Amino acid sequence: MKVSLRRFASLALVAACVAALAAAVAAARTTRSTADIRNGGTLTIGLAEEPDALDPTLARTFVGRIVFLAMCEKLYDLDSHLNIVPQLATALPTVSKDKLTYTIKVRSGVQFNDGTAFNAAAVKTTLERDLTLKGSVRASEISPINSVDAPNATTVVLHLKSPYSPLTAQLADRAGMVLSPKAIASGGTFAQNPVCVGPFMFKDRVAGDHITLVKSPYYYDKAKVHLASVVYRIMTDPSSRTQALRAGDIQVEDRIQSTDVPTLQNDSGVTVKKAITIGYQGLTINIGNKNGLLKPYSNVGSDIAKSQYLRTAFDAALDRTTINKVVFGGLNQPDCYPIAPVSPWYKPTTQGLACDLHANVNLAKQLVKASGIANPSVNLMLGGTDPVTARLGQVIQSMESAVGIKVTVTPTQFTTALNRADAGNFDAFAVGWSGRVDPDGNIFGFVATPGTLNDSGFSSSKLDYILNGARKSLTTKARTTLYRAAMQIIHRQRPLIYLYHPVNYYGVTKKVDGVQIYGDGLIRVNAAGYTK
Amino acid sequence: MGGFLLRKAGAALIVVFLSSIVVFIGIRALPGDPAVALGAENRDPAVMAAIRHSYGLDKPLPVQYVKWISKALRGDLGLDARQLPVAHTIVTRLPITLELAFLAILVGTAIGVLAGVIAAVRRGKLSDHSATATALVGLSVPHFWLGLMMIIVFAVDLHWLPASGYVSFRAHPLGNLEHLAMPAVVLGTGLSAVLMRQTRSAMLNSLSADYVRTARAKGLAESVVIGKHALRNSLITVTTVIGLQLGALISGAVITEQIFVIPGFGRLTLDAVNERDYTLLQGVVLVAATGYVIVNLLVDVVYSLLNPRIRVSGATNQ
Amino acid sequence: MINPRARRRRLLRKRFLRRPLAIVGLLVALTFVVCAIFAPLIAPYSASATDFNALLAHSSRHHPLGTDELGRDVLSRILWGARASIEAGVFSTLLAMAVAVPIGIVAGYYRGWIDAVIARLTDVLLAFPFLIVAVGLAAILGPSLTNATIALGIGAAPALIRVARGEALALREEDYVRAAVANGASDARILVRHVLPNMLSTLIVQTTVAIPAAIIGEAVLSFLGLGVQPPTPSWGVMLADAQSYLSQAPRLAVYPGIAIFLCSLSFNLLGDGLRDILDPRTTR
Repeated sequence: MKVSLRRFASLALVAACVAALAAAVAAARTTRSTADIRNGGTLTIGLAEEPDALDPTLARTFVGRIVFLAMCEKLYDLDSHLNIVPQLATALPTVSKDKLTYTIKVRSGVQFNDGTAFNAAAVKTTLERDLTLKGSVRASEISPINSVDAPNATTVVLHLKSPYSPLTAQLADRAGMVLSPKAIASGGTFAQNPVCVGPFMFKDRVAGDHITLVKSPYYYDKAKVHLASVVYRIMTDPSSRTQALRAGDIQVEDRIQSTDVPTLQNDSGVTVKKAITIGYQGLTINIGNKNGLLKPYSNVGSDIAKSQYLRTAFDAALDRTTINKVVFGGLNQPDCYPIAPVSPWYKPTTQGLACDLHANVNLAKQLVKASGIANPSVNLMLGGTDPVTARLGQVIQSMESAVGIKVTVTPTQFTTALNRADAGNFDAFAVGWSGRVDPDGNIFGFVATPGTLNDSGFSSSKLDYILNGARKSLTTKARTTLYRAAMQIIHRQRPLIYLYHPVNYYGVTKKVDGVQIYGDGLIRVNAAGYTK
Repeated sequence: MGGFLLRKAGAALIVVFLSSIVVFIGIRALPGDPAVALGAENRDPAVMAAIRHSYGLDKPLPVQYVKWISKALRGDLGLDARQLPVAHTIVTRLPITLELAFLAILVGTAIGVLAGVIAAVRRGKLSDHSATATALVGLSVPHFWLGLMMIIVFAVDLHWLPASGYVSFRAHPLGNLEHLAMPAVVLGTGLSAVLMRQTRSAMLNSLSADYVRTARAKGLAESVVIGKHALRNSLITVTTVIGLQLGALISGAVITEQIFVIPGFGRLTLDAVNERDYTLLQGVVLVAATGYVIVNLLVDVVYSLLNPRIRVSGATNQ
Repeated sequence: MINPRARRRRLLRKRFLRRPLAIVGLLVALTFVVCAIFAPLIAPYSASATDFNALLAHSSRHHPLGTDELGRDVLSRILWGARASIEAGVFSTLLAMAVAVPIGIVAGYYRGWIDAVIARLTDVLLAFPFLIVAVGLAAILGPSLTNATIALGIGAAPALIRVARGEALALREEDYVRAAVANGASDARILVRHVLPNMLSTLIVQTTVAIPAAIIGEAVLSFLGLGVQPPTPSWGVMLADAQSYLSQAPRLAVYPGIAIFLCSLSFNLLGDGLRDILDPRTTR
């Protein structure tokens, strides 16, 4: 058919327009996700516990780390796979051949939230404060650091006394948070007005009630920050936390209790996020803690301390799957090891070990008999007087009585329990650990002779040698081999009986987007905001 | 009047002083190394020693007491475990409990006095019996359970009121009242039950008194008779009862704030004990005891103003 | 010859029998006491018998009130829980009486500086909210039913001291007391033979008032984790456990609450009745 030139031209024009339109729509669709979040608004988060001092040098609570995430950036951070990535640093540290010198390059053009400049000198000041401030909790975490240099504004050099492979992981936690030297020098209490580098800055705090942060005008990446402010409300009662989320009083709920998870999963206005943590919960058995923590250890002589058979029987009597089902509604992750399955270290270090998640009642009974102890009894101290911990105690008591071990349960207030544990005043203690990325963090402190958390009083020179070696070696392969050997010793002697890894559930209202939770269990809201 | 007041104030001061000693020693008697309480996950002995030194825990007791009380008199109650000033925390959280207590007293008095007057006037009739029965129920029901039931009904099922939490009056006046409605009712229940019974019995006493019979004989309207006497006797009774019930009100506030998650003074006390935050606990209990003594003093003064006989004879219901 | 005391007792009994509410109160209170004492015999299950296959079960033939979050029989736990409540309620009141009455009598009878000192010390005790005292005691002594009982006793003592003092104050002006003093009787004899017996009725009434307050107090302490420790059942502990299950199984919160309410109500009714019949103005 004959088509006139004009008609062809108009057709082509139309086609071009349509194509352009389609392209524009396609382009808009891909950028839709970030354009979907509007700027402004206050995000209220219901925290399960209260943070302690907002001073990274002195801070000790897990929950404090959640608040720090929004207001105190670190040299390094974790990504969603729990790999260490640079944050205020620009790359992973360069380590010298003798493993005693770490060179870290840091960002330039960055300001603290009081307008002063961030530089290597500030990092030096902070690290020296961490090492020398009286009462510093970070000192033992980075103790191998001998001195810190800042040859220029973007280079930090750490000189170590001895090799220490967990160092980079420590710099991805509170030890790596950089504080404003001006705020430190001002003489007041840093915790009352903390200043760091961060997307949000501290505004006010009422003890036991809330902490308010506001968007920082100084942050180097502030274009990515949507919220005008973040309020952390302390809501220790889990039932009211859930009610508050459902009512819209808070937009994010920290650690939903297991009995509320199904309800929230059915709630159409809420997204339930799951984070399989790197921590563990278990039973610490007092084997050698006779005179107190870090005093000379010798067997305490209780039924369960004397007999390895009895400890193995105790373990075999416990049905970890049933415990999980009855006490936690099946929501946690039953396991026999301190390292969590989400950690890349898990598989290689537990290879060859057997973990039975079900009880072996017959084996347990035989082992009780083999122990030679008639009417064995164990006093189980619980680290809390809340109903969930009480349930755990009673289930354990029930299961042990089925194999002939009499368990008396002593619910104890948490800090009193820690005191008693440190003093060696217990048989078994139900307690957990929030977990560290590096396997050293989950093992050394608890079973090494100089370990500052070794309430079990466990002392094995062989294990000490292995764990020290694992600290000094830098290759993953060498460390894996060593930690596998360590696990075998721990699994055989049972200074700790590990029960499960907590799986934390968080609730986020569907009105909010961009809230992330990684395996460290910390709530990240830096890029979050209300959807349009 | 002046001598009476002076004597009362002097007594109050002695009580406050003795209370401060009891607080101080009582808290030292709590088991557990406070350094561990502040330690959470880190119990490095060097850190513990530094904590003990910075809190002055390694000095002898009398020295510690003097240091503490002299600072307290200047308004400095020290820093808590979070390194926040205790005085600031108390000043921020106390008004919330005061508002709750005020609302509870309002609710309790309104219901209790009204019911008591009605019951006395209609003695023996149905309204008397039902009011008395309700008062009995109010006395016997555990407040915290009542709170839990109300949460289930009004918050979880009907969504009429928020289940927990608090917003300040200045920020959201309506929201503030919504959040405090159930707690105030729960806290005021016990008070209203006691008030109802006391008002009823006081009214019955006065209604049969001679001067009332005289007034009636004189031909004064019944409403005037009841009105004048109801008011006068109610005030005396209400004041007395509130004074006696203050302790129960404070204890009730602690558990009410716990259930409804209100960031008030009552919960602060409980949290401080549970966390073994000694500095905070010392400051909080001292303020609570002092406040209680002061309010009692005020109640005594008001009572003596209303009941001249007390002033003259010097005898009190103490 | 009918002894005046016996005649009075008969009169009181007659009055009591004319008050149906008081009789109901007495019977229900006695029922709770009996349940508390004979719980091991009456309860169908032991208080800690778990059944992991029957969690949160509804009422059935085997479990008239259903089971709780660990599969334990609710009815049995209510019956066993009566022990904690009655024990705490009764013993704490007796403890408070044993401490408060002598102190109050001494203060009221002797007056003077003893009275002033005792009054100040009582004020100090009163200055601390009972719950804080209880929490502190539980923290020092460790949470347990015994320590909760002691804390409750200490909490109830100040009010009782005042009552005893008031009574002694009034009684010392009575003729027979003055006569005994004039005759040269020793203080101890006067206090024991004349003062104490005549305040007995007031004290009895106070006891029946204090017991329900103590029962609720024990529930509060156990609810906060400061009293009875699991797995020993207590109505307060059951309520604390039920909090996490309010949406799934609200009945777990209803039963213990009703138990506390009825127990406390029965003692209140009894107390009211006793106060009524002992009031000198009562005519029937």
